[in-house]
Formats: sequence, C-alpha cells, structure tokens
Amino acid sequence: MTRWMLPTFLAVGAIATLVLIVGPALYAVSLSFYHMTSLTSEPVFVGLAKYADVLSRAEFWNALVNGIVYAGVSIVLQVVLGIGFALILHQPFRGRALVRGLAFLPYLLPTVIAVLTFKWMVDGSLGIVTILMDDLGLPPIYWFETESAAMWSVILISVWLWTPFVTTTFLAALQTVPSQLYEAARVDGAGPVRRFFHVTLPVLRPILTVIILLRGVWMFNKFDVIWLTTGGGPIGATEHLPILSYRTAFALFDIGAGAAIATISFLFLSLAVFLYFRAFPMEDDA
Amino acid sequence: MAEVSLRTIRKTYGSVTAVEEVSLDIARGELIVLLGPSGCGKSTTLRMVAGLETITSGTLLIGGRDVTSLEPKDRDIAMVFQNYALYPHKTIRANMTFGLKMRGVEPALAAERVEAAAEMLGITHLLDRKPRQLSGGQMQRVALGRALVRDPAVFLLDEPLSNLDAKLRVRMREEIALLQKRIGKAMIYVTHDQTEAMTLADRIVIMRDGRVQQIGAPLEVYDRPQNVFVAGFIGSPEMNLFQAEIAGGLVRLDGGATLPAPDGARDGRVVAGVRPEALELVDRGVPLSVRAVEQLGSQTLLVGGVGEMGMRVMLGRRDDIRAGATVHVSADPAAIHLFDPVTEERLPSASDAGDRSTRA
Repeated sequence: MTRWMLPTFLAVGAIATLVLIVGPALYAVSLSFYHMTSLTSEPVFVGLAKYADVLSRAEFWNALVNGIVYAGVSIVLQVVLGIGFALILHQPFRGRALVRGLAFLPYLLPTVIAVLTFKWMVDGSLGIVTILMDDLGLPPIYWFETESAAMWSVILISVWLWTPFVTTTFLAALQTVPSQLYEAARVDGAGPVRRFFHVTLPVLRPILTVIILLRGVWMFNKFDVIWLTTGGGPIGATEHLPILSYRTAFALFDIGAGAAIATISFLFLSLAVFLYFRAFPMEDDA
Repeated sequence: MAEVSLRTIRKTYGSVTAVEEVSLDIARGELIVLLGPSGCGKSTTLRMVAGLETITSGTLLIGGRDVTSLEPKDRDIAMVFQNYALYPHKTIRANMTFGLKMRGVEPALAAERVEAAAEMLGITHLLDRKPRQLSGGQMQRVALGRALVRDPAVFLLDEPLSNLDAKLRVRMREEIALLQKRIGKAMIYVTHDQTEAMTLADRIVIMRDGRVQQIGAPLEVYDRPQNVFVAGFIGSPEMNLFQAEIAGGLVRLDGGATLPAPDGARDGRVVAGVRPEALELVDRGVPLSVRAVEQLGSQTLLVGGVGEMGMRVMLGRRDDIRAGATVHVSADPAAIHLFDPVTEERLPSASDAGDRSTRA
C-alpha cells in the first residue's frame, strides 16, 4: 500500500458520491427556488415563494397524510406479519426449506408484474377474485374506484410484496438468538408468548429497529405501486408526496413547486428518522 | 427415599440411540457428576432430567413425583447452563427475579430471596448491572444465583465451568462444592473434566456412547475401574494399558517384560493396566527407555517406552534422570488391574473383595 493509494481510493468514492448523489440532490433543491414551466425553459428566481405556495395547498396536506397512512399501516402490517411468518418458518417441519424459499418469492417479483397480476385478479368483469366473490354471493369490491378501498388495495399489494423482506431478515436474525436463553426461560417457567417478549424481542431489538427504519423510509418514498395502480386517485385518495411531486412537476409543469414538495418530503423524512433514532437508540444504554 | 430417580431412561433420535437405559437414584444432598467424553450422552441425560429433551422411554421421579412428561417449569428443578444463558437486556436483579415472577412469587418475597442469594454468592454489588458488564466468573455466579433463588429439589449444572480460565475454574469448583454442602440439595453436574468430577462428586457416573460404564465414589472408580474405558478415562496422566498374558504368577507384557501378577489372577490373555503413579523405580524390573522427562514441580513424569509400547511413570521429584536413560520400574501386584481382552471388562482379583462400586 503506497501512500497514494488511500487518498486515491477515497477520491474515487467521494467523486462518485458528489457527481451521482450530492450534485443531483443539490440541483433538485435549487430548482425549488425558481419558477420554470419545463426543464428547458428560462428559470426565474422566486425565493421561497414555491414553498409558501405548496404549503398553502390542501392537496399537499392531503398527500402528506396519505403518505403517513400508507407508510404507517403497511409497515405495521409488514412487521407484524413478517415476524409472525418468520416465527412459523423457524419451527421445524417437513418441507421447511421449500416453504422458506417460496416465502421469499414475492420480494423477487418486479413491482410491475405484481401490480398487473393483482389488477387482473380483481378486474371488474374477468378477475378471478371478482368471479369467486360473485359465486359466493358476496357484494363486489371496487378495489381502485372507491377512496377507502383504493388505499387498502395499495397497502395490500405493498404488504404482499415486502413482507418477505421482514420475514427473511427476521428469520435470519432468529438463528442468532442463543438457544440456551430459550431453555433458561423454559426452566424459569416462561411459556411461548413470554419467551417471545422476554427473549426474542429484546435480543433482536437492534435488528428490528433497522428493519422498521429501512421499511419506513422505503415505504414513504415508494412510488411505483401507487403510480401503477391508482396513479394517486380516485380524487387524490391515494396521492402521497412522491406522486404529488411528480404530478406537479411533470403533469402541471410547475418544476419549482414539484422540487419544493420533494424537498419538504426529504426534510420531513429526515426529521422522522432523527426522532426515531432518539426514541430507539441503536446503542443499548447500559 | 431418593430425591431424584432415573429408571431405565432412554433417548433415541430415530434409529440412533443417544442414551441407553440409565438407572440412577440420587439422594437429597448428594452431588452426582455425569462424566464422559463429548457425545457420550451425559448432557442429553441431564437435559432429560431438566425436561429440555423428551424421554423416549423410562420413568423419572423427582421428590417421589412422576415428572417424566412434565414441562421443565413443573419439575422442581433449576439449571445452570454452560454459557450462563443470562437474559442480556435484563439487569442481574431482573435475571434472578424472572423465574420467581413467572411462578407468581410475591414481589417482596422474591426481592428478599434475590438479596439473600446475592449475599451468599457475593454479587450484591452487581445486582443493578447488565450481564455484559460482568466477567465470566461473575456471570457464572449470577447463573448459580438464579438457580439458587428458586430453591428447587434438584440443581442441574451443564458444564458450568468450562468457559472459565483454569485458575477461576478451580476456585469456582471449590465454591460450588461448599455451596452444595451448605444448601444440602441434590445436584447433578455434567462435565468432561475428570479432575472436576473427582474433586466434586459424591458419586461419579461415567458414560460412553450413551451407556453408563460405572457408577461409584471417586476413589472407587479410581481404584477399581470396571472396564478398560474407565481405567483410561479416570486418572491423570492416564493409566498405562498393555496387551499381556498371565502365566506362572507373572504378567508378561507383549514386549517381553514382566510385572508381578495380582493374587488370584488366572492364566490367559489379558489387558493389564497400571497407573503411572503406581510404578516405582527398582533395581530389576521392566526396562523403560526414557524418551522425555516432564518436571511438574513436586513430581517428575517419565515418558518412555518398553519395546514398542509407550509407558508413563510418575515419580516424586527426581532431578537426576535424563532423556535417553534406561531405568527399571515395577509395581505392587495389588496395583495392577486386569481386564478381559475381548469384553474389556475388569477381571476379578483378590484386592476387589471389598468392591462396593456398582456394575453398569
């Protein structure tokens, strides 16, 4: 290792980060201070006017609430179901390896395929779900057409797609819990539920903290599921900040406002992550 | 009445037998050590008593009650694990209280018992710490304390000292022995360390391949090993074992050298055993070519050979023997153990008249 190698390696990483991440991010933020009707038009500096404009719009607050509901509910379901499946897959049973493999499958599917499949399944006239529900005499569900059903539909698809991530990471983490702790708890008289709350959960808390954080950030910024199913509709019922930002910038041609929404979204998420780490420190206070 | 009673207890995994019909009665206040090499079934036996492994067949009684198919918590046992198994996120106090809490013991009473146990083990100042702030020895004390507060009929210890360094191991061994005498409860202690077994046990149960080889007091198994395996396993350095033949009142080792035969030995092929410490220097005896001299301080160990066969001799301190020398050794005929070369079982001799140890 010559004395030039360390600075050289660091420089490569630093330049890549600057060019590919910091630069575009700063550019995007800078756009929010200008009025532009397209990326090629002449920008006019307007200061914080776009922020004032965005914050005064009802659709912004609607999108923020939708984003929190969408991310919040889908994370809770993913984590609860994911841990549940992980605990089941942790038990020895015949064909466990196969089931473990299958359980990971949804995570490998491109979102587009999952979404299109779901749309076909619930299609109003041809969908297998629609036909089965009709045969059973159940009233039809308008999956993407009514406001509350649409939110639940996008949550359902998201949970189906990303619960395997929680299951797999938690299942891997479960292997690291020393079996003697469970045995000690059994001797101490703790049943399965208490063993989960007194051994599994506390031991895996740092890992669970990271899982929830990752899923939280990803779900809050998740664009494709909603875009491909409802596009934010009906009447903005599933529109969250990424969709609103995109629509404002590229459908309503107000680049500055779109950038302002994205910036606010970023600041909001940063604050949320900061508060999250304050509430659940990674380092166990001893 | 026995506090703990194992009656023909077996454990099989599919077609593999892990433990073969162990029967054992343990009295109140008795310390039983299960001893054997790894994979001998000693831990499995302990875990069956604990209820952490199901018992394939046989009956287990604790305090006169049939607990064969009860959950660990309903067996009136407490266990100390090799890796301590302290709950890492709980304080020491909470670790020791947990089992009492699960049993619905009054919080005030539980606190009192934890304080008392902590006092006895000298860990009062650690009660509000977390396990990872403790040293190995301290964690082991806490693990003992957690078992102690439960006041069970029997304590089960699974290799409790094997994660400690040698010096600490000796000290904790002494403490466990004192503690056990003081509380006067039955204790089953699993180890692969024969020194631990010899020093701690009221009776040792020696196991191999899932079978009990011999049950007896430490000196009984040392003086009258029931078979070749026990002879080799108990004692350090281990017993010298030779293929030999008894003829005319002599043990003729296959290399040609002879030792005096014990009284009543019948002529024929045998495996002859003699402990290194039973051998002594004589003018005319087995010629031993010394290959190495190990000075242990108060004792001197000669490592050498008789013809093709290796032999160790433990003497009082000798500074004058060098590697390469040839010395003559012999032993008191009563100190020579004879075993059947086929079954490897001990052959009866006159010195076994007072044999009280139990045959497996």
